[in-house]
Amino acid sequence: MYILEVDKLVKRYGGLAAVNGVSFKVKRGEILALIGPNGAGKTTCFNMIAGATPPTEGAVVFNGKDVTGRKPYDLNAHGMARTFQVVKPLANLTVFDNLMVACLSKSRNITEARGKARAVMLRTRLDALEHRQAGLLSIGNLKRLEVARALATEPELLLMDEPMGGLTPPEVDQAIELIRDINAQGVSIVLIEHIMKAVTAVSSSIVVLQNGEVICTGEPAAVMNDERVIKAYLGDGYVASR
Amino acid sequence: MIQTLFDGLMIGGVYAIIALGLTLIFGVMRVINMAHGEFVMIGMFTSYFLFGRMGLDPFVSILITAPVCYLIGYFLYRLFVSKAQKGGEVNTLLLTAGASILLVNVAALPAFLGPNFSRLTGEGLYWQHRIWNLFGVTFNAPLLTGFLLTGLLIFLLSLFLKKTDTGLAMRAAAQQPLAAQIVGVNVSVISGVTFGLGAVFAGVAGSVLSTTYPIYASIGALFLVKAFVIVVLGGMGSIPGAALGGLVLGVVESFGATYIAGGTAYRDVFGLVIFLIVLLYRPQGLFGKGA
Amino acid sequence: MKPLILTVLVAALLAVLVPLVADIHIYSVAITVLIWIMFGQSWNLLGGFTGQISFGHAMFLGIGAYTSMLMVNSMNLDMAVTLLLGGLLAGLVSLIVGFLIFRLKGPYFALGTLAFAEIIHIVARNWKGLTNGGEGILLAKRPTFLGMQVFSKAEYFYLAVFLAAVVCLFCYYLTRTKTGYSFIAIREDQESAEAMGLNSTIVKSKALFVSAFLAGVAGGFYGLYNKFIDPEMTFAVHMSAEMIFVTVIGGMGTIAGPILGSAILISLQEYLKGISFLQAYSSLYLIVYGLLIMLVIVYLPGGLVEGMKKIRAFAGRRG
Repeated sequence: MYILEVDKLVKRYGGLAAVNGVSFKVKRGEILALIGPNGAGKTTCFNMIAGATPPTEGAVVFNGKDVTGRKPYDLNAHGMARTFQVVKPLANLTVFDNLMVACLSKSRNITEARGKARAVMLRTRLDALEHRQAGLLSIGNLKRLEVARALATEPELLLMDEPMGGLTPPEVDQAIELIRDINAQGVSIVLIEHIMKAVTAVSSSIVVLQNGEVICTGEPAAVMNDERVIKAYLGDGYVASR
Repeated sequence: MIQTLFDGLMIGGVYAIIALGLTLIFGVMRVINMAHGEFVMIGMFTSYFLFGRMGLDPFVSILITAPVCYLIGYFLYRLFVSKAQKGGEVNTLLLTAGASILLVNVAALPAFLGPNFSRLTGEGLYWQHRIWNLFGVTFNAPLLTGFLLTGLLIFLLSLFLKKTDTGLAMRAAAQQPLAAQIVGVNVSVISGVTFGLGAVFAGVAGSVLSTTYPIYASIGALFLVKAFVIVVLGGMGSIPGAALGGLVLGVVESFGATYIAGGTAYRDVFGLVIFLIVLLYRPQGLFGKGA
Repeated sequence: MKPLILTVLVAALLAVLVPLVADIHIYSVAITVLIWIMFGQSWNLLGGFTGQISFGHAMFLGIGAYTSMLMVNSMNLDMAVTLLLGGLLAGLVSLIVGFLIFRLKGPYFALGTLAFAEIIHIVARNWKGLTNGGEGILLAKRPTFLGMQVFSKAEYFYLAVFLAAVVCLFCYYLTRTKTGYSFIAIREDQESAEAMGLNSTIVKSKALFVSAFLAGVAGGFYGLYNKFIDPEMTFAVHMSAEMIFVTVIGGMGTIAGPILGSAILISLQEYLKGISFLQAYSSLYLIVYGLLIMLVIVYLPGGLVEGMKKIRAFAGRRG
């Protein structure tokens, strides 16, 4: 039923709690958006879920198993993949080689990896850039490659950290289509994003963070009109003046 | 036993000064200077040369050793190290290793030290075999003077770092190089100054040591290892750590040599094992902040 | 041209042509070049391809050298067996080293390997019962390789050509396997590679094991060829350093790098040794070597291999 359950996650850095008791559940097959003002703790949550940072307190349950604190490659083997907000391509390798590396862990040998990489490349429409050096791509293509690499690891759950940051409006539309596409093939998605158009277009539920805590969860329409959410983004003054 | 303690403290002071240079360079620039020992050697050689040619007292020759080491260090930084830094910390480490090989072998040329051992001895050397007896303890005179000199230098360094603009700039560059640049600190010049300063400390130690140690081109490696152990133990980038660590190492060595029979062979192993353990389990050393 | 064919061709050419012109001295130089090619390829696997710069590879070299020498001397085993066992032992030790030291990053890893190697060096110098300490061990038997006697310079030369060819080909094909690509991925961006499912600890350990194994095999041959080993020529830091710099100057992360680096540096060394008026300046080669290291790192990080590519590109534009 729930592919991911996050239970009272806490991350403290010295005296500061970047994440202070965040809980939410992701239904299998849904797209859940994690939104909130800058500094709310969204990426820190991701890092704890994806194994990049160990939580100070709390638990992460994936497919019914407690995976708290496991390493990223371990989680990846179990079907969780993530993209990075600041993209991390293997800059000196070609686009194709980047995808091939992503396919390595799920392939028995390099020939199989190559075949899978080709398939992913076509699916994400990166084939035109096959031999281009990844470090030289435009931001739009880098983001696309970032998603493609995560997809190549055959995940059940995909964590996307601001996949549309820096994209032009037509690129945003393409990204929305890609996300819908991925979801249609059975991949559950948790999405951090600031571009509300995209958030409302794809998500079936939204979790709003502020100052490391959840201030609202629910369906997009309800959340968007929630007073607390508006306050968080636009300030008390705006809400008071409405 | 008191004698052993003081013997250790005296040499420890000199070790501390060498380590200080290394930790300064690391603290400000995050450069691990594999050629640091060679600056000690350059200091030793310069004093030896000046004494041989002009009968100049090694301690007085510090006035010349210091600028010589500073210049070599500064230019080494500006011409090579600064450019290698773009490639990352390991790249820079490899570069300083190459510089070490270069410096050792230039020194091994017949024009300089040649392949043999040399000793700074002779008529008119005030320090020759000189000991002072104070409070019932026998002090090796040059080392005691060196110890006092070390103390003075550390004091001056702290003043420099706290009270002068350049010192402040160095501390800024050490903590946040990017932010320091934004507020106008010329990080590459400051780095050059720091590298030069680190070299000076090593060179001064060399001048002090020239009175007691044999002098040969590859002696730097000996001191580099000691400096590393001290710096890692005391915390990379920590000045009090280097000072204290130096004294500790000096004392430990002194006691080890005096009381452990046949311990000298494996003595270096102890230092290295400590080095590894600290590196692995407490990388920030005793005084450093988090790794 | 397929690398396998190219290698076989080059090896065959060397095996045929060199003996026609060679005297003891030329054989000596050639064998030294081939040995350092092997050392370089071994270090390159971990350093160039996986991005983990080890400053202590001499320890694996030494383990291989002593294992082979002791086994030949005491049990008269065939070289093929002793080289393999020496390599395996080095590989096993490397697993311990990796387990302890892989938590360190970058320069700290380098220093950690250096410390480890120096500890083994000092132990080897002092553990007279095992290693005969500083006096070293002389080759006491005439070794065989797969049954064939290996004793004269010419025989060692043929074996060296064979081994070097095998090592180079092995490294070449390894870098094109799944394992090899995982090495490269870890080098390029460890965090990213981990997110894509690569277990960085396992990948690095594999790289270290193979690298140590090759160093042990080559070390074994090195010892038997010299017919004498002592701690200074096996475990000392300068051996680790030369393994690094032969590769760095040639070109890290390429198969051609160690080949080019070794050929040029060893030849340069021999050439300088031969000039009579430079005899007094025995450290001159090392001065050039040190300067070359510095210049390559700053101005030509891809080594001579990169340099050759640039020359070819330049010539291509002109022509």
